[in-house]
Amino acid sequence: MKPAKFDYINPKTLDEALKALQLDDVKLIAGGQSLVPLMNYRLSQPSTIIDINSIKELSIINIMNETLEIGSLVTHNEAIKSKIINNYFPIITDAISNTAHKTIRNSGTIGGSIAHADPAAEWPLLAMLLDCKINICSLKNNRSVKVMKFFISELTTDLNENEIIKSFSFPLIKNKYGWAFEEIVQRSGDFAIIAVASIIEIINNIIVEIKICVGGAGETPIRLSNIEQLLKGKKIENSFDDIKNDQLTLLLKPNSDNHASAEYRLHIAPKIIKNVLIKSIKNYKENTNDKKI
Amino acid sequence: MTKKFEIKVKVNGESFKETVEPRMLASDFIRDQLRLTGTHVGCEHGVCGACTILVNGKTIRSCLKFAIQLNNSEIETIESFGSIGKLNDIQAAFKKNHALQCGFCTPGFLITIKELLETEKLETEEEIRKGLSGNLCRCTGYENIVKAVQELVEKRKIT
Repeated sequence: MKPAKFDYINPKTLDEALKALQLDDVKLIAGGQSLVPLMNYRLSQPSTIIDINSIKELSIINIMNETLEIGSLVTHNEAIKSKIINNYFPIITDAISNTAHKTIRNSGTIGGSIAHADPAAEWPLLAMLLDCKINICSLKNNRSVKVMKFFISELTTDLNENEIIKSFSFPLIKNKYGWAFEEIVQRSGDFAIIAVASIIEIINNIIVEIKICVGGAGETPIRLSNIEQLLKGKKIENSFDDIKNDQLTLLLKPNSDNHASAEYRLHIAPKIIKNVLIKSIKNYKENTNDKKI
Repeated sequence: MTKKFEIKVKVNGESFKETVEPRMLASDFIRDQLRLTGTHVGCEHGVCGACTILVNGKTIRSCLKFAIQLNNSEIETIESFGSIGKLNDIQAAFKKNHALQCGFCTPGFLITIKELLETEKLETEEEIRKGLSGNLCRCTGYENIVKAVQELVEKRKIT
């Protein structure tokens, strides 16, 4: 047996889980696809594991008040299969199909992925791109945190030890839009060397709102706010050729690791970002039907 | 003292009632406690795919689950496939196409392919390779494994 000894609690309700979180040195387990490897290496040796897989209310997928709400226990494959998600955010279906491998996606959850906060993972990238709010509860109170404040650094979030993520709120996009997602990986299913996603809202051929986000290029996923400001209000006929590479990489701070060097990431990022922008416009033009809202 | 738990599982159609420590990995439980050693343990941290099993019809990596989490579930391991005298279709396609050499990764591949054939279109070689990307093989270079799957996909079309 590789992991160190621990006690196991399997609460049936959120309240029971929150009470169990008052114990010292506890860890929540959902899919376990990041936690169990760390336990097998004994890098993580919690005294108690709280298995939240039996808490039904964490598995919802709903549209309410112009917002898509995804429960923290929804697995990657459940999200990919969800017609609601695909109808409002086809970018989620597409991007999450690139998360790890099918077997991992059977277990891994949105909550686990975002709480783990790997800056090269797809869910954190989508959360940052789509201005997601993270709905958190504890015994004392419930709170919602904007994604910008949630991701603090690599593998570090605003989540406290006695809290559980209940769900994620993705505000629906008001205007007709185009989207694209692209990533560079060594092997299908690996963490991205660089991942880019964008949503471009367009009225009368004018970009009225634009979101661009890059993963794998810093301690958290990074919104390219400088490029967003530059392109907002511009006509879509204007090509993106005028944007210089150093503008595209201005906000990126990639690290070197065993997958790729920082230099390589900075070298390929501008190409991928431009591809994604061009693909987003193309996607807008091809999808003339209004999104159901 | 860590509390032990009693779990009930159905493995390849047979019911078991077993006592486990919470830290017992599903892979160790299947191999050491149930003595079903067809499930292989490679990397033990969710990278190689050798320990893949089916739980309630879906693949999982048994090195990334605890036995206690399998309570009340139905499990299929490689022992539910054919025998040496009577290979099942996936095993027969592997044999025919020389899709294995040392055979260590094979149980994981066969289980993965069972799920892929049931759930994915696998119309292109790229789709097949993507489906297999979570399983590592150090012998074959994957070519013959892809060929075996292509043959199975063709066969699936006919039946």
